[in-house]
Amino acid sequence: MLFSGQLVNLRAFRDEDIKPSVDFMNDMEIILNLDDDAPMPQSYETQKEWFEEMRKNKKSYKDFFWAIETKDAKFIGGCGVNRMDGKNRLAQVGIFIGNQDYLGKGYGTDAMKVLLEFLFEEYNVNKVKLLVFDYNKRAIKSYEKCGFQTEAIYRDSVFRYGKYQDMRSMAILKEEYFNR
Amino acid sequence: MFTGKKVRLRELHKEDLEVINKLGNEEEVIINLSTRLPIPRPLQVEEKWHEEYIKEYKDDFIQFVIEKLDGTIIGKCGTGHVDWKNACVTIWIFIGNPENRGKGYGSEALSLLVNFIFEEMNMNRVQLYVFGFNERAVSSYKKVGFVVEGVNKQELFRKGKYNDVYIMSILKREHDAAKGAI
Repeated sequence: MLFSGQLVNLRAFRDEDIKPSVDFMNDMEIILNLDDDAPMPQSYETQKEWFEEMRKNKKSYKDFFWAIETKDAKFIGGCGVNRMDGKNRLAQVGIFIGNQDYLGKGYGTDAMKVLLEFLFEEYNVNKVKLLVFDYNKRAIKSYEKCGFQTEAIYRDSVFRYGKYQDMRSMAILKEEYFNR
Repeated sequence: MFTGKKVRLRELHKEDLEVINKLGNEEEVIINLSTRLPIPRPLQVEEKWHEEYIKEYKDDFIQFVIEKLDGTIIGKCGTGHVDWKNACVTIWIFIGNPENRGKGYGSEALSLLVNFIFEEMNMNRVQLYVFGFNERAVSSYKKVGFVVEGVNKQELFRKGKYNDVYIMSILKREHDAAKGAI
């Protein structure tokens, strides 16, 4: 069923997600794998603002972004499309599991599979791509399980942990998705 | 700093817009420059952009007119996204008019731009995207020192099919090493 995987469901964000999101975004291990900006401390207010802007779609780079919850309705992260290029039918996606208890257990992989199903089977995209920090080996393995393949290594393109690090670009094409 | 053996980079004036618009609207340029719809741009749009550019003038959006040393305008180049924290900048360039291509004008302009970015903007990485079918451009970028980092498959729908887009880059250390060799 759409939006429903083996381990997780995707659903719209709710106000009650703001509080746990503050904890997710203040967890340095989480945030340093999520964004190439320098991490800044977050408060309830900054998260609330982010939620409101996202809902109003003011954050133009977020086309849609959903909450990931377990089958017993625990909110554990988010995923969605950062940039949708309609003409070229290209979606750039992002995902995070913010609750460390749920890392490395297949929840993220399952959520990504649900997102891919939506994009290829309903949204009619030709390609889904993402960027991942090359040091984030767990994430790379998860994306490979979903069918993503590495397309490019962006050498030295992010400054983190005191040095320039590589970013990896991964993608899955429509023909690959349907021929699995 | 901005003058080479064949071309120079200079500031863009309102008076240049008509020529720039004409060069930028050539099919060869439109087809190769952007992943957006390849449609010619009215001069008025160019003028509106220029007014906004002047109004919000800031030093992290750089664009230069490329002219031959005799003053003939042949194209434009500049920066797209400038990421100061990660010291990475994305660039673009175009040369209009077929008789100006294949003569090394573009390569020299690009190398002046790259030089400026490393030597003055203190960047660590310069990157650009180029369409796989634009072989002349790829070989020009290689001449300047860019390497292909990857092939983004089927990212551009053009001429009835999905085409590949290459990502190319040059790092500060590569730029410095090449300079030392001269």
